[in-house]
Amino acid sequence: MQKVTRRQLFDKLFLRAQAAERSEKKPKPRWAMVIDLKKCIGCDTCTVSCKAENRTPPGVTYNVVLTEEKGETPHVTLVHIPRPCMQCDRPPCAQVCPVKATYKLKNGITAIDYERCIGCRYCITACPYGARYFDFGESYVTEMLGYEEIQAPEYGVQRGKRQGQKAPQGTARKCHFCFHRLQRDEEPACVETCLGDARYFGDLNDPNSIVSKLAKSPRAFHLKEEMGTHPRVIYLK
Amino acid sequence: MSIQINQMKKNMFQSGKKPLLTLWYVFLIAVLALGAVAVGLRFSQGLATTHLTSAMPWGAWVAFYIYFVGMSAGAFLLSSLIHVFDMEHLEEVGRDATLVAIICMILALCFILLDLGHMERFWHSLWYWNFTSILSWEVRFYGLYILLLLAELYFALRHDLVLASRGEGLKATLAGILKLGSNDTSAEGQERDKRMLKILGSIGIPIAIFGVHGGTGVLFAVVKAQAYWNSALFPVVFVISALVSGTALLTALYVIRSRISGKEIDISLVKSLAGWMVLFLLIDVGLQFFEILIGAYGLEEQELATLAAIFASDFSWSYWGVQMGIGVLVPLILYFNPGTRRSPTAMMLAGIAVVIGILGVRFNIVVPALTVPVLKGLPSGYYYPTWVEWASSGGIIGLGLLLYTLAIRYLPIDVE
Amino acid sequence: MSQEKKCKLTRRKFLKGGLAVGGLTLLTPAFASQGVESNSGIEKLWLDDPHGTGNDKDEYDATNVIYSLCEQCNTHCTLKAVVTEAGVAASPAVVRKIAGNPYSPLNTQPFGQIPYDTSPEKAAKGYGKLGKDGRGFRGGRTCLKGQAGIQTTFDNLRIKQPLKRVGPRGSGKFKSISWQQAITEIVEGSDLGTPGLKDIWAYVSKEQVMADWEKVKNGELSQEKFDELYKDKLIDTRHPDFGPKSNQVVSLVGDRRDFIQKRFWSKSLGSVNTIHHGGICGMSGVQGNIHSFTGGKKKRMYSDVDNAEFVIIWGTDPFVANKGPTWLAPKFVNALARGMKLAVVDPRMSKAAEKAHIWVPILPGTDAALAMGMARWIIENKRFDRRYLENPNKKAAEADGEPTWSDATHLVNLSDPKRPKLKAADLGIGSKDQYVVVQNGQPVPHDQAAEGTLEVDTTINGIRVKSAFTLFKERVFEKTLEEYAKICDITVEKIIELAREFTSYGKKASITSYRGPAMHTNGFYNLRAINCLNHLLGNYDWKGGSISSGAKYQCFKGQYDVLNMPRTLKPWGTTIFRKGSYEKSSLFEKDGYPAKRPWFPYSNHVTQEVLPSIDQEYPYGIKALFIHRISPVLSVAGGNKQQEVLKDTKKIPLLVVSDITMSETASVADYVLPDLTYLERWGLESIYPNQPLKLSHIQQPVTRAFDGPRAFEDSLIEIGKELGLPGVGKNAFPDGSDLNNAEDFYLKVVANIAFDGQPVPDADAREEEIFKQSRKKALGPYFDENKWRKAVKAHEWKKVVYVLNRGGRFEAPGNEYEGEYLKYKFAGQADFYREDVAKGRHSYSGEFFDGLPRIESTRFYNGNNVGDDQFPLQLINWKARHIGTHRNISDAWLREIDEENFLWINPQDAKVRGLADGDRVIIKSASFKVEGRVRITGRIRQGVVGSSYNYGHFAYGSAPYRLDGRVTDTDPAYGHVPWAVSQNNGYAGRRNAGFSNNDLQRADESFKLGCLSDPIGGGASQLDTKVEVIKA
Ligand SMILES: Nc1nc2c(c(=O)[nH]1)N[C@H]1C(S)=C(S)[C@@H](COP(=O)(O)OP(=O)(O)OC[C@H]3O[C@@H](n4cnc5c(=O)[nH]c(N)nc54)[C@H](O)[C@@H]3O)O[C@H]1N2
Ligand SMILES: Nc1nc2c(c(=O)[nH]1)N[C@H]1C(S)=C(S)[C@@H](COP(=O)(O)OP(=O)(O)OC[C@H]3O[C@@H](n4cnc5c(=O)[nH]c(N)nc54)[C@H](O)[C@@H]3O)O[C@H]1N2
Ligand code: SF4
Ligand code: SF4
Ligand code: SF4
Ligand code: SF4
Ligand code: SF4
Ligand SMILES: [Mo]
Repeated sequence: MQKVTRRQLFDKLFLRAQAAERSEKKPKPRWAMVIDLKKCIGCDTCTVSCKAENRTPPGVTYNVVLTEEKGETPHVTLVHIPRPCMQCDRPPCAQVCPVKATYKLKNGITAIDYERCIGCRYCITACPYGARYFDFGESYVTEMLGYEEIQAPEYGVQRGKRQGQKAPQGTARKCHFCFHRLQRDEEPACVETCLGDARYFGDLNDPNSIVSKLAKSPRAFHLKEEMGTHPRVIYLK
Repeated sequence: MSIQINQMKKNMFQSGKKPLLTLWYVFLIAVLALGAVAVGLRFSQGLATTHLTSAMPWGAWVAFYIYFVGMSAGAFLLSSLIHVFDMEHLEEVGRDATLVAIICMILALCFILLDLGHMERFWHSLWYWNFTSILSWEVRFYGLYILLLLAELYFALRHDLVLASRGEGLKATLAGILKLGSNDTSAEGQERDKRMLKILGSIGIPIAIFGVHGGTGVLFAVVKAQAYWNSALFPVVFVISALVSGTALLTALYVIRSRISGKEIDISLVKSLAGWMVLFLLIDVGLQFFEILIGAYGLEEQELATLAAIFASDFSWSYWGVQMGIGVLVPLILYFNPGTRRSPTAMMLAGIAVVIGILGVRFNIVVPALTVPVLKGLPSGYYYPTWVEWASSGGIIGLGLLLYTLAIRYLPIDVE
Repeated sequence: MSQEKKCKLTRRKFLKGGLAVGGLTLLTPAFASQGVESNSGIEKLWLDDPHGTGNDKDEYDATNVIYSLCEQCNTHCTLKAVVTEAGVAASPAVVRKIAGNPYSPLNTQPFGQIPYDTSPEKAAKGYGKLGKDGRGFRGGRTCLKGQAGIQTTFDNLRIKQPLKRVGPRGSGKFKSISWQQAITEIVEGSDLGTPGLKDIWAYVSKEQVMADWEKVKNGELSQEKFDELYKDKLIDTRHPDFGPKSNQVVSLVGDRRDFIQKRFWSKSLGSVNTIHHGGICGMSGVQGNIHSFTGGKKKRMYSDVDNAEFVIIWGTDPFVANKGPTWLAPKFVNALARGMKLAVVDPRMSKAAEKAHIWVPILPGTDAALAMGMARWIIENKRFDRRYLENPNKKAAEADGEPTWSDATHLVNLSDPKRPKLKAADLGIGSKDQYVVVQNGQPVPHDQAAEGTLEVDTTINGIRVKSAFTLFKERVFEKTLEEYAKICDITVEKIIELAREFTSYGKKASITSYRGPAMHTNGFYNLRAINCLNHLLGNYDWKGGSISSGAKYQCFKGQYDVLNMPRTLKPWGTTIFRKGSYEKSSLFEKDGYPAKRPWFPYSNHVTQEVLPSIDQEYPYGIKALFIHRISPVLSVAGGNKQQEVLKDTKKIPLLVVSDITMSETASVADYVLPDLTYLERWGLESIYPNQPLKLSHIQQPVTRAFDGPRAFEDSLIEIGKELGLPGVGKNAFPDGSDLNNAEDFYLKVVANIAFDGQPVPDADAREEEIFKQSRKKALGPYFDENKWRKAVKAHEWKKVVYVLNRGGRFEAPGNEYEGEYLKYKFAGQADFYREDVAKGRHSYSGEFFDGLPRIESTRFYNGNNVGDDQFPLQLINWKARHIGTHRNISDAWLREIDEENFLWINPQDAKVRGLADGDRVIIKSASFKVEGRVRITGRIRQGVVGSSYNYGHFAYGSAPYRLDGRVTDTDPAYGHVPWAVSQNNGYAGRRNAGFSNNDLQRADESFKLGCLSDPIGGGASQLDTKVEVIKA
């Protein structure tokens, strides 16, 4: 904790301007995800791949699939809505966070600074998509050998073992578009493995990217548009 | 019969052995000890000791937190009304009100501290700043507000502290420290104090209304994800209910303390306090009615589901029983029934009922809204506090009572 | 209504339905692009310079990657495992993440795999432009079960040492023993009273025995003398046809069948009794398929999805199960997006049906009626491919541009009670191997006709004959469409709609089918009927039509003849579950009809009969049972009752179970041999018959969680050595090489794959280095390079490395088709009529089976209708999307998806019973009752209830046992609140959640123990049981 504090201080006082300058240099991607509901089969592979990639604890499920059934036999229809974090451009979670632990990165990802978050959970109540989870410090370790040995370097930060009550235990957590995978040119785990080939990913700054094209589809919409959150997860109906 | 008991109490307090006081301390220590165990567990095992979940991120501690913020604001507003508008007949409870306001704020902060996933980072909330975060503003308002309260208490007590410091013993030593070097017992000094109180009160009122408690209401009201909270009336109701609880608490306290200390009860004061209380209560109920009516009228799914959770779920006893029954019906009956209206005991009971009722109000704000999933298919929230949550809450409240007991014993709170 | 119009309507309805649901509830229609335009204005408020972020990206390279094979279900997809150093496992690394293998088409639909010659470095780094393509092409897809596989291997509740039972069987008490002790006691016998293999095992050749038996029969040799000669060798000297005592050493296995079954059990041990899960998996379906074709291997019914225009998914769910979703789901979804039409025949709305244009919620087990109804309409309306059906042989077919032909024109001899096909020899116009067709009014040997007359009903030389097509037509005309519709409880219009659609796309329509219509007492006939629909189109080997078994690079031959040995034993005798004709057995001579238990003339691997037969000692008692990687207690219909057999030390004197966890079956074993899990060992894929490209993939060690477990192959080799069996140890292979452990076998298989056809290139020095480094990293001491190298010849090694570095060998895409045809063809004959089935007899009544498809009700072995009318609901079951068979229940990530197997019930049925969603209920069949919870849903038809079958554990880590005097751990209750476990809450339920659907399965009343089976197909009935559901 001490180290972090010092780093934060340092950041705050000296590095800020520099970092900002550096990050302006070359055009950065703005990530977005498109989910085609006509293709989504509601298999929950995204859900599990996310667990496997991010090794989130019990009770923390960055992605869920919401299923709704309508109609009577045999005219039944099912709609499956996979729900990662929408990475809203106007994110209520960041809006309410008292310490700016949740904030927007230029690449479009709504980030959580696990070393800053105080665990007040205001953001969890404020997310209109229920995309945020609190890490209660639970574990798979009785059942899963070595669960606590490895954590995903979420937001590019390697945190070592999951132990004590070290963050991200005690903080808010959510889907981060697999930030660390993007850094190594690998698409998010859920996109990689989507069984319905329903999830697309890419850079909205590139007009030729697959997401830019799909975003223009007449089938495109956002969840809870009326919330004014401007999500970066675009659904195709 | 009640008089007898009171007499007894009085004797006990004032006799050398003070068995009642001892009993009271023993009780408080027991509550605190249990609370300490619970808090210890909460420290070592984190929030997994609660029944909070990601679907139900806030629970008892947050409810207690807004409860005490409200109580504080209410008490403070009352004391300020007294100072600012020179409501002489209420003077007697003025200092008490300030003291109560401070202690309530301390409790509120204890609750919210306990609620943090990372308590050791509490200072982040002051160090870091998010312009758009109501909570970020609130934390600062709380700080300001507490300073203000302390100043107010200081000026209210200064004269008596100076006097008290001239005596001997613990009380005098304490007073000697707290008088902060002032030795002025002059009438001008007292006038100055009064002026200061007026000024502080005038600054304080908007801070308490808009900053502290209104702000706490805003905290909820801005959450558009929760349809039930998301209404402009919400902060207003918060302020009004703060006044309700503040007046109620002071009414009750006044009667209790008078009884215990054997002082004569000023019936008109009680009636006046109770009158304010009932007035606020009626406004509060009226506003809540609008709130519910307008909410329901929108036929918005989440809103309706929340209302259903409040009115007709496993936990609707908390609404009908605690909030409406104990919190509204009982005090109204006691107040409007000519037989009980004149009885300070009845008014005390009415006050206590309201204080309990408002606790229900706070729970009913926090919990039911969160039981409704923000998207269909997400898990519904379900919640009741664990023993750790109850015991730690008890401990914190115990701490408040202890502080209050010590304060009235060692500080010149009572207007002689 | 014209057919196009109708179809459009359905499609539109589908879309509209989707929209309505979306629009009305969760979604607000709106305009996507607005919000994602820029970080201007308001958005800036929350932009901040990065804090709490960093540069660690968990980067990996080729030395962290091993490509292997998934075994979370029996699909055996290829996979990519990324390993990371961590100090917890026995090996230095743990599996960080599983993904699909980018080299493999199975994981890379719809993009296709990366070129096979891509270097492993490049493959690990990927190709794509993430921003533009949205993919890095570093890994492919796997299903959710595959994603969770690491939890199977790193399951803390695994068995870590060989265990020996303490106290009586099933007492739940074990002690740890050494491997040496385990092997020795299995071979020599033990203080538990278990016999040693060396005392119970004996082998004698069939030739020798039968020569002497002939003498006994001729009176040249006395029975007594015979008894004396063979009493130590034969199971029963009065019934020498039962075979040698080696047959009393039985194995029941789920996988690695090639090594265990084809090599060790058959040729080293010389036992006929090595049975796999076929009978409970899809045996009747497989038999129904096999018996619909001649001259090629065609075990399954698959569509060429990529180019199909219409597909009927008939009682299977390729979006979830089948073989398997990783490969098929993206194919189907993209085919739908391209405009392919889809119909699904299933009593419940499967995931496939959710997306289908037509859902036909058929009454379970009436599939033959639907198929025959469709056939009737197709024939009546002349919508079959006449030109195709008139071709009686390959040559005639080729002339028409058809890769396959049918027996439609072949004549059937109705004067013979066995109803064989008429042979040219019968008419003196040719041989016994030639069928006869009528061409221009004259009988002609089938292979000499250019065209046959389709409908023949005549007498030739006094022999009553009809063409196969005429018989088929008469059969399907036995009932009207109305009658068929009534049997299936669907509308006539539905039948017509299906039939019309099916016949509207030429060869580009086909049926994909699997377990749904098969796992009934009438499953065989159902599958026969469904196959005949494809026959009517002649869609085989056509692009967009029916696909045949996938081609493979050869595994067992080539460089090494791995399934053989210099000296082999030849297994012979009667199998414990009685494959073959009852009439040919010596028991028939003794007992006549009815046979005490069913005999199966066609079907191997009648899994469900194994334990009951052992119990009844019919045809004979056994001495030892080895169970490996199958758990009949949960997977066999009525397995709960069969568990009692396992506990009986008289019936099974020695019971050895190879498992990874204390399964329900392992918990009653004498010895439990802890096996390596799929991520730790060698293996081969066993079933993947539905891809158009040639491929062979290989399972290789990726990590090692615990030190104690050991590959089952190694145990068998040790046992073989101690017994002095052939084919193990020194000179075990025909080329003189040794077999001392699993590598010795599997690396040779890899060499075969590498050298098949045009051999793969040699691994260059860098590749070799990567190979070494990655194995060292992943396996540490469990990688012994020299040992591995020695398993193959020096010059083969580099090619072996090349294949292992890619997880197998995969043909390049672009080779799927040759013109309008699939490259890998069935190129055989489609059969409407099967003489081999027609001459077979039911072992109860002696009645002949039917060479045609037919409609049959659910029947006991004794022929009586099951009825069970007091139970008004029919119980079906299916594969949960998130659990593979029973074996993934150890994966908490998968248990989080759903808490238990809810019993689906239609709202109407629920209403009558006063049930609310989530209610606890008692589910009662004539044989058993269980408690469960209901899910009320319109996704299941009225009159039918069902659940996934994948739950119901009562051991498997969910209950403690005593190990070395201590009580073992169990799986934890997750969640810090008591109500944590529910869907989407992210908390896993307990391993013992839900109920075992198999517990409810109807017992066959004709004999003491056992479930209903299909007498022809040999599959267990799993979808016929009637139940009632009562609020608990
Ligand atoms: N997720 C998952 N995948 C798996 C497995 C698993 O356990 N879980 N198991 C693997 C194995 S071992 C196999 S063999 C394959 C099996 O693959 P499938 O054959 O696809 O598996 P089932 O779920 O048994 O399919 C049966 C389907 O038939 C339906 N059905 C039931 N009764 C009838 C009927 O009378 N008529 C018709 N037309 N349909 C009926 C069921 O509702 C169900 O949808 O899956 C493999 N893949
Ligand atoms: N009612 C009903 N019954 C069914 C089905 C159905 O749909 N409905 N499905 C049927 C089908 S298709 C099948 S294939 C069967 C499957 O039935 P089973 O083969 O019995 O089931 P599995 O879960 O595959 O595996 C059984 C055992 O293998 C163990 N095991 C897992 N991995 C390994 C390993 O690496 N080594 C060893 N030695 N053991 C291992 C597991 O721990 C488990 O105890 O069930 C059939 N039964
Ligand atoms: S993996 Fe793809 S198809 Fe499956 S539920 Fe997730 S988004 Fe839908
Ligand atoms: S979806 Fe929720 S958590 Fe994600 S950015 Fe939007 S408000 Fe924040
Ligand atoms: S829980 Fe953390 S991220 Fe969420 S609002 Fe509080 S401090 Fe911010
Ligand atoms: S993008 Fe990554 S973190 Fe987000 S849901 Fe998908 S896998 Fe999980
Ligand atoms: S379908 Fe089966 S084999 Fe393929 S990835 Fe899924 S679990 Fe593994
Ligand atoms: Mo199977």
